[in-house]
Amino acid sequence: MIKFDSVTKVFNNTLTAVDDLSFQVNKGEIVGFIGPNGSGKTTTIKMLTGILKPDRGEISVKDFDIQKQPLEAKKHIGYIADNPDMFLRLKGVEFLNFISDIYRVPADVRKERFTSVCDRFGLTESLNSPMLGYSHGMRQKIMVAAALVHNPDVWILDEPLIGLDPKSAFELKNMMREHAQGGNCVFFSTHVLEVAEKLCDKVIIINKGKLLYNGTLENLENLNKGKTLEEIFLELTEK
Amino acid sequence: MTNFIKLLLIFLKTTEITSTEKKRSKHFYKIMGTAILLLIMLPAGALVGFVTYALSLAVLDKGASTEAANIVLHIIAILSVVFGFNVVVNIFYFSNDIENLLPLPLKPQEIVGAKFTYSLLSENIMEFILTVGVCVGFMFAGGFSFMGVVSSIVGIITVPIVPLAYCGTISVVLMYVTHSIKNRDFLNKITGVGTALLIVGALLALVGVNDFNAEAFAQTLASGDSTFLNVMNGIFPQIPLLMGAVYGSVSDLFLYILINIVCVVIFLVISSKMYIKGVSDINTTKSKKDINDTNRAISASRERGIFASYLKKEFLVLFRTPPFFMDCIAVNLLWPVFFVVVIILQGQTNFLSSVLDPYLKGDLSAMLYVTLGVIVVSVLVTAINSIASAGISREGRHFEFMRYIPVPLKTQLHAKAVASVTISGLGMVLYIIAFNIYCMVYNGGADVPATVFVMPIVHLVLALICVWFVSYFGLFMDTINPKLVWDDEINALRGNYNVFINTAIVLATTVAVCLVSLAMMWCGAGEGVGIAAAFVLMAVLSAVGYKLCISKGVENLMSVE
Repeated sequence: MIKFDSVTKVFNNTLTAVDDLSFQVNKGEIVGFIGPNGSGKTTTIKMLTGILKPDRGEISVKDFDIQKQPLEAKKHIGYIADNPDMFLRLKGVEFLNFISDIYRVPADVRKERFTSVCDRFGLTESLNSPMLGYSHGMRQKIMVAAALVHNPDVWILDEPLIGLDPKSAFELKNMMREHAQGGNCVFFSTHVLEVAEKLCDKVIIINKGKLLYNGTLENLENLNKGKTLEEIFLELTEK
Repeated sequence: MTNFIKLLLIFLKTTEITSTEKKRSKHFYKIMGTAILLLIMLPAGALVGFVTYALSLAVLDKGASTEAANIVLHIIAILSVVFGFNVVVNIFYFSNDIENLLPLPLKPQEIVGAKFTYSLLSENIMEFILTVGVCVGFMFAGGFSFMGVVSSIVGIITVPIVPLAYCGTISVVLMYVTHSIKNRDFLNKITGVGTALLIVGALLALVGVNDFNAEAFAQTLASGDSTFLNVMNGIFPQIPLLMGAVYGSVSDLFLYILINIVCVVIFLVISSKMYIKGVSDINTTKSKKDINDTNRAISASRERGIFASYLKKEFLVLFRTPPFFMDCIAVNLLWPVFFVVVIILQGQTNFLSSVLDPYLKGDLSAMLYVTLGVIVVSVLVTAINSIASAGISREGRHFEFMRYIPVPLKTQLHAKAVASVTISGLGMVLYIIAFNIYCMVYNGGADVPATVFVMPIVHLVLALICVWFVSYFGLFMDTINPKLVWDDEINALRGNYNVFINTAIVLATTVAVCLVSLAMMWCGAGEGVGIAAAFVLMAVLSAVGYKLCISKGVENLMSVE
């Protein structure tokens, strides 16, 4: 569903943020994208969502090239950015309606989805207030709700659990599992190795823009017997 | 002291453009910075200098000395306080760095001192240039001297200090004693209302002036009977001292420097006692919780087209964000004030009558002048409200959103331009209606030729063409180098060079169009041809602006990283 083929991104002709990166995310998979700060995770996600243009290589989502057929590719993506402070002057319900209009969600369907997502995240009471008055966690929840309102096949989440309370984090993780089980895919970046360990079918580890590992956690642990995931990660990224 | 310097350097550094932007736009900033200086700042400084020179000559003739220059500097100081207060409070209390600064082992006066100096250096460039104008204008009238030049240099650098110290002291005390003001939106609203009241007050004061007479005004100044001047000398005592120093008094220069130091010391002492308490528990809008309310809102959800929904989002952001509302929407309502000022200041010259009388009799030359006036006002209204020329900058950190949603950038640009066309266009429609009502009242029911009835329609169409041109062109200008890094909505507009650059370019273009139109008349081609030429040229410019925006503008947005 997601295909990265020899993708490179260089900033200012000097800083190679992503270096010849290739990977795939298939149907039914939850893939954790792990790497230290400045490793190129966010740049990769930004290229995947069409925010940044790769210098080399091809990226496709559901077989649509993100550069050549951007609108078709983007319609299949539900993206949660790392910063939830967006359009804070709008009320929660106005923001959700705006996103629903952009993704052409019919009125009756959107009402049902608003109610469902907001019930799960405990947003219902505040939805008709400006988002400026929301806490960081509430803003994160509304961003999650907005990203999922059009029921996208491909979820791309940049540090989605930051700021969420335990119940909402639990709900989101359940939703990620349900989504993957429904024949879709989830690709998310995280710093929390325990989350990746418990949730992911596969992990992709990068550092300095280069791919270090792409495969199951089980395989990674088999290759490094007797070591914890944390130790393996540190060994890989500090080489 | 070292903490103060380090903080100041960091504040100044964070406002610099990033290295990527720097590389991309090095030449752009050089060219446009020079254009702003040459087309806006220096002419404004020259105008102030000329007014000071003319008034000073009149006053010096009557045996007085610095009163004329004092009054000009007082007006600049008042404007600094009025427009600086909101900026100072936002920098002192609502900037995003506060949460990071407070836990550090810094003294309150170090934080406030660095923020004060940063405000002084970054927000007062225009005031520096206007002060140069006043000093030079005064010395041209009163004579140059070594003491005058030295005092002028000191004054140019230091004149904004006292107004800014007043803003800082008032804000520190207000934030210390009140609770309600600790909400940014509330503050923006009250300063907005305060500014509006000041403008209305100034307007009413002007309406009270029946016959403005420059001679009588100079006489009042020279005799020392001006209440305004006497009151302002009490509020800003450093200004007469500065002008006294420029006139040659060494003791005035020392007293001037002393007053500046005293004001800053008082401000810092008050800040050291009150800043920390005032800056704590700053809040923004609280959200209300009502499940029934939410259920009703969800039930009322309905589907809109992508363009309509995007346009609605633009309007909501513009109307609900107080700085955007004040600078982009409310500013449109200022123009009738200028019209009334023109009516009043014409005094005995009957400038308006000399245009309106022939206009209402169907004189073609007058019709051409009024038409050109409509063009200039339409262009200025749209350029100054910055709805289009800050259309991308307003997105700030949301800019990435424009790139990841499945909506073509072209559609998004159209929605932003249409928001500008709608608001500016509505403003122009109102002004044209108001102008025609004024003409009807002025005419007192006398017969007018049929052409006079046609002109309002011509003006409406022409105004909308001008608004269209400035909106699309302004938006295009903002795609070249949008100001996306700001921590407060007010800073998305303030210090945004795109607004100045757009205003300078469209104004220069419009002046060229008007000159071509007038040239047609002067060459004997006829006034009708002149009006038609203006019409055609503005239509061509609109098409060019539109094309630039949706082709090159999209390319520009794609290349922003």
